[in-house]
Amino acid sequence: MSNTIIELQHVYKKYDDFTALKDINFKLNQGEFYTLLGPSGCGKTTILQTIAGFTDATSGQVLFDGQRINDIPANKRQLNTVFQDYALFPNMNVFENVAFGLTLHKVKKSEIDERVHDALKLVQLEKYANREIAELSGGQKQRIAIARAIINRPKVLLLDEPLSALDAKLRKDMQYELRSLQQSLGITFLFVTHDQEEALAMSDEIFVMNKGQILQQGDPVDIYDEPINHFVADFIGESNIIPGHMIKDYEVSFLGHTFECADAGMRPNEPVEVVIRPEDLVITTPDKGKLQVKVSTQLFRGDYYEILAYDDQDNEWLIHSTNATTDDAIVGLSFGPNDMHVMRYNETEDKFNSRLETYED
Amino acid sequence: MKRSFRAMFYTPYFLWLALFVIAPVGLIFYYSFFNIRHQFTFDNYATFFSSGTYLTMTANSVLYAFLITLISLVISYPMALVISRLRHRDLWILLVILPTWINLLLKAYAFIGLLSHDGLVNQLFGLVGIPAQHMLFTDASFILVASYIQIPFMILPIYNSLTDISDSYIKASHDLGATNWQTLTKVIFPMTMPGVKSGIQIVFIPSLSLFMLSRLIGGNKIITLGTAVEEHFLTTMNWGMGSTIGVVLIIAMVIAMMLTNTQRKRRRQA
Repeated sequence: MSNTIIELQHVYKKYDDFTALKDINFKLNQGEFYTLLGPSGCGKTTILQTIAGFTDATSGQVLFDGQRINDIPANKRQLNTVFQDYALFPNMNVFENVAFGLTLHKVKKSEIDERVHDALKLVQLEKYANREIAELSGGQKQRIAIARAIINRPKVLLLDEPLSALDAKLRKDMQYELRSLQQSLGITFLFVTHDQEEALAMSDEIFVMNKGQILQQGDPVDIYDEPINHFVADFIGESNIIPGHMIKDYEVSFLGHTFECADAGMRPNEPVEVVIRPEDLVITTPDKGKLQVKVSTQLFRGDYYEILAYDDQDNEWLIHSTNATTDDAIVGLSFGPNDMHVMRYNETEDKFNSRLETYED
Repeated sequence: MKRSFRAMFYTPYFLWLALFVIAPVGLIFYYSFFNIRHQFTFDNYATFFSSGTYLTMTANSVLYAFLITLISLVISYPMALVISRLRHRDLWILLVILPTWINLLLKAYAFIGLLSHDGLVNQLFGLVGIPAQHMLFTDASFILVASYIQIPFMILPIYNSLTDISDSYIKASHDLGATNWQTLTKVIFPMTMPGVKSGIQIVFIPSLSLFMLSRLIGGNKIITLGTAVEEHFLTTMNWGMGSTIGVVLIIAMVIAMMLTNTQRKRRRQA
């Protein structure tokens, strides 16, 4: 497709006795918001650095606009990075920092003034041009770092956990701002984070990574509702994961009961794992529930109660409920066929996707 | 209780300051107002600022100190830059610091051995057919040896400020399109200015009053303010004049400190 801006083909990164990236393949389209999501050490920052040109891929191709850029140095690549620690030059003020990319290229003074002003306006800090970096708050530094990174009008902006140093409230505000900034600039953002909430809130497309591999790629709703395996289900949001057996299509059994479900395409009696999200569990009376559990602890989270309960086989159940219940009470849990998601063991992403296509829609 | 406890920690420091910093400086000022017969007078200052000898001596001292500082800076900066990029940089910087553990006199005598008429350097020259050079007791050898001795003191602060620069600044600079040279001149060099400045202070100020080296390597042909102070206190016994030169040196040092310290304030006004 002509609107692919970045493509990675079979990218490996190996250190002496450690493989940081294993066969990474993906395509990024122009003007979309992508997120690399995974725990620390999963290789997501290595991918970013490979694209930015700070580290070389051991093998494989990195393509930018259809051209191989493996051997092009970082300063010749048409993309810019927002760093985790912002990396704003302390020996320059805000204006000089934002103008840095332009002053390197002998741009006219009047044009520099205009473009810096526009960039600062975009991040709503046009009055801060003459401030020193040390005088800025964390959120302001963050925005200046973005303004500096977009001054050269890159086609792709790489963001390396840029929100991790901000407090919770500011982080939420910046999520909205980053998203709207990306939409108004119309350029590709590749965002790296270990925070699944950030990833779900902002992205068009998420790549979930673990141990140097991409496990699943998809839009936030797909990844949340249909995680490919135990790791993804557990990493994205809270979940209850129970081992069970697929009796036949649309019928799964676990904890000694058989339930109607919405999944199919597996071998009869195949061992599987069943995911139920805590917010999909509804607390009712024991006789109305499909399962009976004993409430152990309740935590008030502000907008909901987080309830920890155990069934008679000592499995842990996490339930989100707007109403409190009674400690040590036996309650029933009810859930519908669509609230369950069945995962096979060791299924590859390709097979997972084609299996979903056989029975969905 | 708490206050008296804290005072106990302060006392040695204040005593030290009073006895070894404030009192000697005060005494130098005091003595500078007395002539050789212990009479109160301003003559010492009048002599100093009207005598061509003293003024050329001052100019010479400043010039030599400037050259020594400049040469050690020109050698130290690239060296610190290279060492800060090496794999075992801690070991290399230790090797640079090592010569400072050796006594200054020993190093001076070693250089006499190297540079003398039959020394190692001339022997090597002989091997490649260059006639023996007269190197000892020249300006050039004095500046060379003085720079050699000062280099570790120049490298260390520069090296420290270089290693303090986070890698992400350099990445950011490259990312925004800077070449290696642009990164060096626009990012690395300005960010290491504090290190360069303290290096200049540490080297320039003692270089103003080097007297042992000027005797041993400069062969008493180079008379700096330091040599003059030594002469007045030990040979002519004119403590008043010696102290006056001391005061001039102190003032020169204060000026040097001020010139290398203004950077922060000027940036704020810009």
